[in-house]
Order: sequence, then structure tokens, then C-alpha cells
Amino acid sequence: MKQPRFLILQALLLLFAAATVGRLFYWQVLQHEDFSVAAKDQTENTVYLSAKRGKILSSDGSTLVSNQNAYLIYAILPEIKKSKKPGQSLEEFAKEIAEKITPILTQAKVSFIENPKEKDREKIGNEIESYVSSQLEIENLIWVPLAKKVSEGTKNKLQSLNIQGIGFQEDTMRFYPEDSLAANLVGFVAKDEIGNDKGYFGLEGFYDDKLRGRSGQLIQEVDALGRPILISSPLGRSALDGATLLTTIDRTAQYIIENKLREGVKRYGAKSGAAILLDVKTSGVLATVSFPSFHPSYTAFFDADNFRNLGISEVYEPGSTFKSITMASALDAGSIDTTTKCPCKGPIRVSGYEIQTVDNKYHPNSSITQILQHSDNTGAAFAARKMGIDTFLSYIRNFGFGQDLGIDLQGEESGIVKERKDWGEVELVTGAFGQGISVTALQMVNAVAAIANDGVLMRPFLVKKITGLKSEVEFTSKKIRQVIKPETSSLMRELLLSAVEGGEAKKLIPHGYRIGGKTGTAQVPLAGHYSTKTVASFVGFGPTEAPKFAMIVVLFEPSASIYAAETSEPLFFEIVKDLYPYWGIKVSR
Amino acid sequence: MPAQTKESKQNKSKTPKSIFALVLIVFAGMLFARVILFNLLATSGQRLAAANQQIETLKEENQKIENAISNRTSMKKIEGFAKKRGFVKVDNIEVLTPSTPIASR
Repeated sequence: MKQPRFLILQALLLLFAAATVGRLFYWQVLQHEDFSVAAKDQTENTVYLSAKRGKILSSDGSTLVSNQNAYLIYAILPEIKKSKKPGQSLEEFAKEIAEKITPILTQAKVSFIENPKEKDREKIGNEIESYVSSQLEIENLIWVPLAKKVSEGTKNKLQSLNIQGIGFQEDTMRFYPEDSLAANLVGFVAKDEIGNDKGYFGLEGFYDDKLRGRSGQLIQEVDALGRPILISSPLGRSALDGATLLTTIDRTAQYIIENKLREGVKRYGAKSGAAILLDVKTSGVLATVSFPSFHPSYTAFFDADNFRNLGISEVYEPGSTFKSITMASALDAGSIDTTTKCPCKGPIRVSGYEIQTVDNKYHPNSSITQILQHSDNTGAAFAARKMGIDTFLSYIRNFGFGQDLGIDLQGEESGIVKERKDWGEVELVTGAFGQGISVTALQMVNAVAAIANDGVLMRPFLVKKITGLKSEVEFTSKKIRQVIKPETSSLMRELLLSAVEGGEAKKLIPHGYRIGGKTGTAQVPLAGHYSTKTVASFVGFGPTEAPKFAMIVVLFEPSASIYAAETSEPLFFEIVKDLYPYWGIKVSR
Repeated sequence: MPAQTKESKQNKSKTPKSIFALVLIVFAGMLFARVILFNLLATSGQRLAAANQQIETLKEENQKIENAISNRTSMKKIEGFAKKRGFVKVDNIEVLTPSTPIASR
């Protein structure tokens, strides 16, 4: 018979063993997942590697867009509230902190506005103060953001305030050394619906997937102090920085045109304006300007309409600039030649409509040159009638109207060219002088570039090289089609030179630049009729003997004068006057 | 003959022992080397972490310098600088074209 003490000991041991087994079961089976995670946390370090967004460079390799350090400013509420004075309400305390922070944050934001007014400063200051106060008054949160994408300088100023509970988390943001230069071209970066950086508009929007790169994640074994152990290789994948875009943009030309267009829009009281400069041979975009514009660092200040690049996304009736297309088509089709004379005795009647010239003056027996010099609507209608609808429509489409040109920019519009079934005599005659057809400035300048480029239509493009970490892709110019014969192109160059040198604005423009081109003053269609507002444009190329560039300048609704010959044409020549010496093109005396 | 047999027996018994000793020494050596190597590698973690940190710092500094250069060579800055130094725009620019050679061989 065993002794009771021995039995008790046995029972205790059994109980202890059962408890141990139970505990082990609890740890190893029931809590298996939790402990696995805890063990992983202790032995593994997961490093999230963010990818740097790619740069955007101008054709000479200068930086248009790069990256810089930025900070997220946050508050740890329990920490910050420790400095609350006894008896002070939460509202008063939040206001006191907000008043300290606001001037620094306001200054940072105001710096993005050109000539900021006191009113703007006050409005922005009030918005920031109210936001910061409301964030600090939240009661059931521990961590709240106060400001995002703050520059290093601003962060240092805030840090010097020594406010307990305010923290800074590293981030990156876009850096624009040229300020707002080419803003409508490059677009901007903002957050998407899940809070990640995303490119919008322009190149940032079009090449977002290339620019953003790919973030990475590395899992590495670490020692008790968190230092990496090298025995095992890390798992996961490293980050791949975004690719760099080398564009065709000529930084100097862009700067010249941007300044001139801004002044021009102001001087002529226009609602907006656009200009595009193309390399005639390749259709590489050398400059594209749209006004009003915005600052890509702080888009919240600007109306969403300012983000559009009007040169590619605004469609308008081209008016008389389209006569260059009509004449080139008619000459190429053999419907007219240099000896052809237009009766042009007076207004013409088509399906009950009367077609007049802009000044109601008529020039009987006009030559092709004179039709272009007088910008004669009846003369253009005469040429179109000689061609007929099918031929004319076919040339219009071949010149790239009514379809996307496929430029590598977000927001390209295709314009409007009616279907063949909707074309009648009225459409043929009015289309000859650019009514009833809608185009983009890009389509218009690219078509005129084709006229200057021996009749070859090229696909306009902006990015000539994409350089990634693992690869490099170069893009070359692409021919779309031969639209007109080289002989027609040569003839049109002469005709368009005469149109400028003997045209309506011959006294307003400087001579010796050998520019071929055409003005266009188109009334803005409004609910079934034409309003008194106009779109004044000038499209041209130069020098005519060996064209280097084609350019279009469009002023939407100018008020100082509604005519292109008095607004966009002189503006075009102001730009050319600066471009010729820059490119070293000789001016004939 | 018997003496020879004894000797060869002795030799035979020596061979496995020496092999065993050699294996043991090699094994011990490898074990020791492994410990040393692992120790070295384990402590290198700290150096690697520091090197990585330094790379990041240098990259950051490089970016800052690049940005500062871009900023100072921007069109606006150059124009401002030119104005400050009294540069003026000239209208009478003469573009010279290379003349054709008078004679060539």
C-alpha cells in the first residue's frame, strides 16, 4: 500500500504534467498563428522600399521635373495635449497650436502663387488654421496628419518651434526647377483614390506607369538588436525606380513662347491661348504652351480648366487657316493649277445660304495667290467645288483631321469631321474656309507641317527616349502617310509665303523672316448660330526655302481686336523674332 | 613471415586510426571555421546596415545637389542673372554662314 504522501506527490506531478501539456497545446495549437507572427516579428525585418518617380528632361537633358524630399507633418494627440495648460479648453489649446504653425505653412503655399495678394494670403491662412485646429480637436484618435508634402525648409522651420507631439515622416514630392514652365505639358502628380501618388494630365498622366516605377519589399533575418544577419539572403524584391523621360522639348523655345503667349493673351484681352511649335521634319514637339496655366506643385489653387493643354484638347473651327489645306488639296488633286482664275465676282448662293467674303469686297479673276492673300471665302469655295466632296473629304482625313494623331500626351481630342453621308454642297463650300469642321491646334499645325515637309504627314511625339534601370527605349519619328506630292508642297510653300508677305497684315509684321502661313479668324458657333466672339489663329512655317519649324498661335476670344491679322499673326512674328537668332537662322535684309 | 604479418597488422590498425584522426581534425577545423565565419558575418550585419544608410544619405545629397544645379540653371534664374548684370537684348544680330572654299584638292 502506497503512502498517502507518495500518492499526493504523484497526483501533483500528474496535475503539473497535465497543465504543461495543456499549456503547450494552447501555445502550439490554439495560439499557433499568433506566436508564429510574433516569432517572425522578432527574427525578420520587412523593409518596404518605395520607388522614386522618374524624371522628365528637356531635349538638352535639363531637368523639367525631378524629385525632392518632402515631409508629412503629423501630431500625436496624447503627446501634444500634455502641453495643454490647466484650465485651458481643448478648443483654445488647438487654436493656440494652429496659430503657431499656420504662418509657416501659409508662407510655403503662398510661394507658389505669382504675385500673391493679401486677400489670397488671408484666405489660405484661414483654411490652414481651421484645418489644423479641427485635426487637433479630435478626441478619439491618437495620430492625425496636419500637412502633407511639406518641403525640407518648411519642415525645419516647424521643427524649430519645438512643439511637443509634432512629428515628421519622410516622403518625396515633385521638384520643378523651371517653376511652372511647361506645366500643361508635364501635368502634375496627386493622390489616387487609395492614397498613392498618380500622374494626371500631360506627360505625368500619359506615362504614369513608366514614371512611377515599382515599389519593393525585402524580408531579412535580423539579430536581437534588429541588425541584418548575412547568413541567409533576403527574400522579396527590390524597388525599381521610375524611368526617366527625355523629351523633344526645346527649353529655350518653350520659355520664349510661354512668355510671349502670356503677354499676348493679356495684351489682346483673350480668354485663353495656345501655341505649338513642331520640328517640320519629324513632328517632334519643340514647345507647347497653353494659357491660363497652373503651378504643378500646388494645383489646389487653380481651376480644373487650367490643367488642360488647349493645344491638344480644345476643339475649334479653324476658319481661314483651313484655306491652306483646301488649296493644297485642290492643287494636289489637279482640280486647279497656278493658271486657274477664280471668277469671284460676288457672293455665292448655296442651298439658300449666301457665302460672302469677310469684308464683302470681291476680286474678280483672282489667281490662287490672290485668293490666299485676300483670304477670299468665295475663292476657297471655288477650289473646293472644283474638287468635289469625295476628293476634298479624303484629303481632309489624310491630313489627319477628325482623328487622334496619337501624340503621347493625356487628353488629346480628335476634332469633328462629319461623316460622308452628312456632307452636302453647304458643307463642301463652308468647309473650304474652315467652317463646319472642328480641329485641334495640334492637328492644324501638324497638317501645315506636312505641307512644308514635302507632303509627308508625321506622327507628333514628345518623348524621344525612356531610360529605365534595366532598359532604354529610343523613339524615332514615324511617318503617317504621304498626303500631297513634293511638287505640290514646294508650290504651297511659295503660295503661303506670298499669302503672308502680301496678306492683310503685311504692314504689321517684320519682313525678312520668310514665313509661309495663313491667318484664321473664326466666329465661335453658339447654339445653332455664330456669335460675335472669335478664335484668332495663325499657322505657319519657316524659313520657306528649307523649313525648320511649323508653329501655330491661337487666341480664344480676343477682345482688343477680333481679327487674327491684328492679334495672333503679330504675336507669331514676335516669337519668330526671338527664335531666329536663337537658332542662328539668317534674316533677309 | 610472422614478423611481417605482425607489422602489416600494426600498419592496418594504424591506418583507420589516422584516417579517423584526420577526419576529426578536418571536422573540428571546419566547425571552428564555420563558427568564425558565422561570427564574422553576423557582425557584418551592422556594417552592412551602416553602409546601406550611407548609400541612402549619399543618394539624398546627390539629389539635393542635382536639384540645386537645376534650380540655378533654370531659364528664369539665368534671365534674372542676365538682367542683374546689365545684359540687354540686341536686334541687329548678324548670322554668319560658312563660306564655300575658294579651292580644294
